[in-house]
Amino acid sequence: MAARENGVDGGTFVSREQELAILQQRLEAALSGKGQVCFVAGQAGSGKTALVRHFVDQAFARHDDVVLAVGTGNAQTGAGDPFLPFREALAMLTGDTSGRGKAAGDSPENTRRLRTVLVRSVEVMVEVAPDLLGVFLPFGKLFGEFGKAIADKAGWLDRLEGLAKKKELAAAGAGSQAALQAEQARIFEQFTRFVQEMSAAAPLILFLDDLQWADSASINLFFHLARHVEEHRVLLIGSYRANDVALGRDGGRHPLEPVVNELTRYYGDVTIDLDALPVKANRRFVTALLDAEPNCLGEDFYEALFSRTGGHALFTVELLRAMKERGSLVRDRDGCWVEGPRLDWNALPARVEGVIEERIERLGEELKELLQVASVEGEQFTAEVVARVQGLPERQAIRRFSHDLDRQHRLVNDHGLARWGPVHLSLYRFVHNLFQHYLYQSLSAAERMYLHRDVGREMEALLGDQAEEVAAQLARHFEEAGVPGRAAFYRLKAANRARRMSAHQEAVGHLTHGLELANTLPPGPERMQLEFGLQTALGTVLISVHGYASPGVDRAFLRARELARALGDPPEALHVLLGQVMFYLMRGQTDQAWQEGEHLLELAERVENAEHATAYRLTIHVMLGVTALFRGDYPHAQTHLEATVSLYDVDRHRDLAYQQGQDPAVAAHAFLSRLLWLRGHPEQALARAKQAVTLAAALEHPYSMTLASLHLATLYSYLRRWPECQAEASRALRLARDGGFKMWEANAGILSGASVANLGRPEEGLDEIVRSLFLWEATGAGLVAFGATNLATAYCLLGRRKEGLRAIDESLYRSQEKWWEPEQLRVRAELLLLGPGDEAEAAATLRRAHDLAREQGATALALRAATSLVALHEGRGLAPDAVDLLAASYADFREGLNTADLVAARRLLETSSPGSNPVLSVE
Amino acid sequence: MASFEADVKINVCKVDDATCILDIDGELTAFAEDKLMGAYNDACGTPVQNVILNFERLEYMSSSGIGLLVTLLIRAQRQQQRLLASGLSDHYRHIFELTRLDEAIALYPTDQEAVAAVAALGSPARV
Repeated sequence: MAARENGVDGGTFVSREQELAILQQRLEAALSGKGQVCFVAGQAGSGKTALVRHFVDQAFARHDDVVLAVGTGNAQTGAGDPFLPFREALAMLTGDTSGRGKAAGDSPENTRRLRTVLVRSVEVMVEVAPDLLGVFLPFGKLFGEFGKAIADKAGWLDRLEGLAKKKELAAAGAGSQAALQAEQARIFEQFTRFVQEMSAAAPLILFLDDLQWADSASINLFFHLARHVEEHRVLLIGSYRANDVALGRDGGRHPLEPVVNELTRYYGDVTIDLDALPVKANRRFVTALLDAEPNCLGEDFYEALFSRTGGHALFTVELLRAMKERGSLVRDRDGCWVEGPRLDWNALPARVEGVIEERIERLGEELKELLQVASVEGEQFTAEVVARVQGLPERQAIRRFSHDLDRQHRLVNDHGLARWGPVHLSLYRFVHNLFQHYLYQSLSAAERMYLHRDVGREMEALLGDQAEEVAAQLARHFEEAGVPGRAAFYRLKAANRARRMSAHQEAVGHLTHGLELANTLPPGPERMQLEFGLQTALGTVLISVHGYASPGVDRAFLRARELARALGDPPEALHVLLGQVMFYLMRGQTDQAWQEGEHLLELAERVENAEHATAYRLTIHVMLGVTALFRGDYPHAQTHLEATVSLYDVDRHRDLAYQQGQDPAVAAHAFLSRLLWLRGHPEQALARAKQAVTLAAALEHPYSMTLASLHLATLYSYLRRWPECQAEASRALRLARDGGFKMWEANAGILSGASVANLGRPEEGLDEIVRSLFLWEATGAGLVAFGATNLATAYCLLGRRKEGLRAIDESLYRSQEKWWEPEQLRVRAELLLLGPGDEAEAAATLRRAHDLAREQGATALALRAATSLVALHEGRGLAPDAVDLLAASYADFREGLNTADLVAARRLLETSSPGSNPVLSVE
Repeated sequence: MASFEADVKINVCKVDDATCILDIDGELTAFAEDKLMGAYNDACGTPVQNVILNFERLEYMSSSGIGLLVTLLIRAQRQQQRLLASGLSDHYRHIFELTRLDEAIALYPTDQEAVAAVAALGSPARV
C-alpha cells in the first residue's frame, strides 16, 4: 500500500480507499453539473481532515480546473463568531492569502488555481453578492494585494471601494431597526449565488471543517447552500465530531443534527462515518500504516498495535511515532523497522491522551511553556501575542514556532500572516485540537486565569482600533480572567459585529451573556453605562429577530430608558428613545409616541456636534410628523415632515439611510404624499410619492426603496387607480421580501389584495388581505385602520355585511389612529346599507364621517363621505342638505379634478341639481 | 352605532400557584380585549409562571385577535411568564404557523398536555 503525504500531523496517509471512492464519486457527479453534499463524521483524531485533504490531493491530480475553499469552526469562540467558516472560505476565494488552512488542505497548487479565477471572483462579488462586501468580508481583507492589482487593472477597484464604503456605513448604522432587517436571507441568497456563479468558472470543493463548533448561522447557511447547488459544479463537504454533536448545545439539540437529518432525507445517506467503519477496515488502516515503510514486523506486532489503538487514526500514528522515539521500534541494517529491545507493550500509553502527553513532555521547558501560552489563546494563535506574554523578542518566538515546533516537532502549522487592518500578525495552528486541549488542561486554574488576562491585554495592545475584529475572543479571555466588566464590553462589541453580518441570534447570545456579566459588577456608573449599551443593542436587535411584537424589545428599551434617566439622559439616550418611539408608533400607541417624541427634540438640542444634531433632528421630525399624521393632527404633521425636507441635503445626508436605517427625506416625502392627498391635493400627492421613489432609487437603499414603493402603491389606492396600485404593490412586495422586511411585506400584501378585490376578483383579494392582516398583526404592528378598512371594503364588495361590520367595528374599537376614522365610518355606512332598516344610522354615520373629516382638514375624506351621503339621499331622501355639503367639499379642490373621487362627486352634483350648481358652473 | 360587545367568555382555572388556564369560549376579536386582559390581570399575577390559553371552545378569531395575543405575550413576558396554547383547531393552528406565533407560544393538543409539559419544563428562563 502506497504511502501518501499529509497524515494527521503532516506525515503519512494510508488506506480509507472506500471512503475516498465515495468522495471521488461525489466529485465526478458534481463535475457533471449535479452538485453534491457530503459529511465526514468521526470522533476527535479519527482522521476526518486528513481524509478530505488526501481526497483533494487526488482530485487535483485528476482534474486541472478544480479549486478548493476551506473554512474551519473554532473551538474557543465557537457559536459566538458568526459565519467564521464561510468567511474564511470566502476570503480564500477572493484572494486573501492570510491565515490560510494548511491543515485543512490548502496548498500552493490551490493558490495558483485560485489566482486563475480571481478576476471572475471580483466580478461575481460585485454583481451578485455586494452585501457580503465590507461587512461579511472586510474590504481590508478583500482580494489581497494580488487581487487588488487585478481589480485595479480591470477598472473594478473604484466600484469595489465605493461598495465597501457603503456597506461599512450601513454597518456603522447597525443600531437602527431597518438596517438590522437586512436579514440573513439576503446573505444566504448572495453567498449561494456567489458560489453558483464561481462554480461556472471552475468546479468548486467547499470544505467546512469542524462544524461541531460552528455558529447556528453558519450551519443554516450550510443547509441553504446544500439545497441550492444541485445544478452546479459544487461539492460541499462538512466535517464534524459526531459525539460532540450528539451531546447537544446549550442544553438543547445541536443545530447541526437536524441539518444532517434533513439533508439525509433529501439526498439519502450523505455521511461518511469514520466511527462506524467495520473492524476489518480499521485493521486494514493499521496494516497499511505499518506497511507504508519497509518493516520486518511479525503478525503479532500488527495485531497488538491494532488491539491497542482500535485503528483510531491519530492514536495509531502517534503511538507509532512514540515507539520509534523510545526505541521500541528500530531499523535493522537494511533499513527495515523491527521490534527493538525496549519494546514493552505494558509501558506504552493506553489512550491517545497518553501519547500526546508523552510527546509534549519530551519538549524542553521553554517550548512547552510557549505552547501552553499558545493553548490559552486557542487552537489558532499568534506568535506576537505569545511572545509578549512570555517577554520574548517576537523574532525569537516566531523562530521557535516555525523551526522547532513546526518543522522539528510537527506540533503546530505555520498559517502565514493574518491581517486586521494595518496590523499583521503571524498565525499558527496546533496540528490537532487534542494537543491544544491537553496543554490547556495541563495548566492550573490560577495559571489559566492569569494567562487569559495577559493574553487579553496583549491582544488589545497589539490590535488597537482593530480589537473589535476579535471581540468574541477578547470577551472569552477577560471572562476566564475574572474581569467581567471588560468581558461584557467585548460582548457588546462582538454583538455589534454579529449584527453587521445579520447574525442576529449570535448577537442576542452575546448581549444576553454580556448582561449577565454586567450584573456581577458592583453598582455604579460604569455598570449602568455598560448595561445601557447592552440593553439598547438588545432591544434593537430583537426587533429584527422577532419584530416589534417582541416582548424582549419592550423590556430592553424600558430598562435602557431607566438607565438613561439615571445617567442624566446622555446624547446616546436619543437612540433608545428613537427605538422606543418607533415601538410605540408601530404598536399604534400614538399618544405615547407623541409624548416621547417631543422629548426627543429637546434632547437633540443638547447634542454638541452640529452634524450629529442635524442628523438626529432629521429623523425626529419624521417620527413626529408621522405620529401627528396618524393622530389626525395634520398641521403638526406638515410642519415636522417639511422640516425634514428643508433640513435635508442629499449630498451631505445621503449616508444617513445607511446609518439610521431609512432615509429621512424619502420617509418625509412618502408621508407628505399621504398628507397632501388627505388635504385635497391629489396631484401634488402623487408627485411627492414619485419623488420619494426617485430619491430612494438614487440612494440604492433597499429599505427606503420599499417604503417609497409602498407609499406610491398607497397613493394609487387612494386615487382608485387599481391596475397601477397592483403593479406597484407587487414591486413593493418583491422589495420587502428581498430585504426581509416582514411588516412591509404584509402591508404590500394588503394593497395587492385590495387591488385584486377592486379589479373584479373580490374573493381572491379578500383571501390575500386576510392572510396579510394576520401577518401584519403578528409582527406586533398596531396601525390597523387602513388594512381593516380594506378588509371591510372587500367584504362589502362581496355583500358580506356582517363580517364587514365586524372588521370595521374592531378597527374602530381598538385604534388610536384618528387619521382614517372618517373613511372607516364611511365604509361602515356602506356596509349598513347592504341590509334593510339601517338607512338612518348609515346617514348619521356618514354625517359624522364628513364632520370629522372637515374638522381634521381631511378634504379628500370629507368629499368621500359627502359623496356617499348624496348617493344615500338620492335613493331615499334622508339627507336633504347633502348636496350642499358635497358642493362645499368639491369647491375645496383646485387640482385633480379628473381623479376618480372628484369625477364621481361631479357626476352626482350634476344629476342632483343640473345647471344650478355654482361650483360646477365656475368650472 | 357599533355596540362593541365581546361575544366571548373567559373562564379562569388555577392549576396550582405557578400555572393558570384561561378557557376562551366564543370569539376572540378586538372586543375581547377587556375580558381577556381582565382575566389575565385577576388570575395571572405573581407567582404565576405559566399561562395556558385553552382554545377548545374558540368559535372565531380575527386578525385583531392575533394582535391581542401578541399584546398578551408582551405583558406575560414582562412578568417573565411563559405563554402556552392548547386545543387549537387545524385552521387556527395553521394561522399560528403562518404567522410564526407558534415559535413564541408553544402549542399543545389539549390543556392536559400543556399542563404536563409545564411540569416537565420547570420555571421559565429569566433573562
